[in-house]
Amino acid sequence: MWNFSPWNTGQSDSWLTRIKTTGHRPCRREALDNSAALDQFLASVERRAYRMAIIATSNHEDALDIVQDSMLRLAKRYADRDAEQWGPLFHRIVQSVIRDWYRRAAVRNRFRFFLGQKNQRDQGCETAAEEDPIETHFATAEPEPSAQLQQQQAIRQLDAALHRLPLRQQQVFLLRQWEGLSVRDTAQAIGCGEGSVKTHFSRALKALRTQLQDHWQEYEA
Amino acid sequence: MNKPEDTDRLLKMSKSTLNQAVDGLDDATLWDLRRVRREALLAGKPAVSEKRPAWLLPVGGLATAATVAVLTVSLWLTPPEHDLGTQLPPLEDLALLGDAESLEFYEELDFYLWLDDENEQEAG
Repeated sequence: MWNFSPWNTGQSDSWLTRIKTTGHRPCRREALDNSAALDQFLASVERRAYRMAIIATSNHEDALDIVQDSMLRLAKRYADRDAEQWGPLFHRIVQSVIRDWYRRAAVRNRFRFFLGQKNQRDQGCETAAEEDPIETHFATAEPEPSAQLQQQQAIRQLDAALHRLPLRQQQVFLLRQWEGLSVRDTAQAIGCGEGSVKTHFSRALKALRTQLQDHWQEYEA
Repeated sequence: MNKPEDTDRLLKMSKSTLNQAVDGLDDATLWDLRRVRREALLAGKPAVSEKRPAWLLPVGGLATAATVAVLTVSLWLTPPEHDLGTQLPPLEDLALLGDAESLEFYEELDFYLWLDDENEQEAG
């Protein structure tokens, strides 16, 4: 399996290493500058990270938790790295936190499913299957005439289509197509091989084409 | 939508839609994002002790002990201020007592004064 540790990908240049090699001890001022730079970096990526998280979870609070957890990990472990390394590191962390959330959600859903079946047997009534909030919203949404609302509907459709994709395909599509990462960087960000990235992207594209072609042709017309 | 140009159009539309979604985030969400960022930065700020190398602990202890020792010794050896006034006269007395000739001169001062008077009378 590909080694995911960021310490093996680049030159190790933490402050401690810099002190050992150059003898230069970072002063308080330098540390404050670094903190301000990290704040600026996080402010520049937080909205896109939130959108990725909301597509994965379709829940505002869960998405915020994912963004905060990712920021916290970056600040705690990699704040002393060079600013150029923060981007790739943050991508990895966000995708990793989303995967963790998926695992926990899967366990939760299995538990709920088990309890649901038990309740059905006990009460002898029919209960609705697990509902996807994005799909539910999309199914019940009223037609919206204005261009702005039409745009919002397109966003919801894309969110729903991306949400239906398997997690790997969803991550690969967003990182490759939206973030513009190379195949190699995407593979590093989600911890898989480059061949898998190409396969996931191709499958994601095919699925999105199937799901969106009818809706989006209407907008183009 | 199976032609390459259709795929290209789908990719472009999906990208622009995702960008529009980011640009259109509401104020409440943006406020929430700012809040979680501040909290993450505060919580993620490493404590000073975490960054301090381990070898500094004994060095710091020794430095503190040395400082305390120097202060204690200097305070011990420095005489209190109210003794300074009483110490100076004895030192002057010692200097006078050490000068034996001067002391004899002062003891026979009356004789020298009488001698001077006698000399003046004889001269006059």
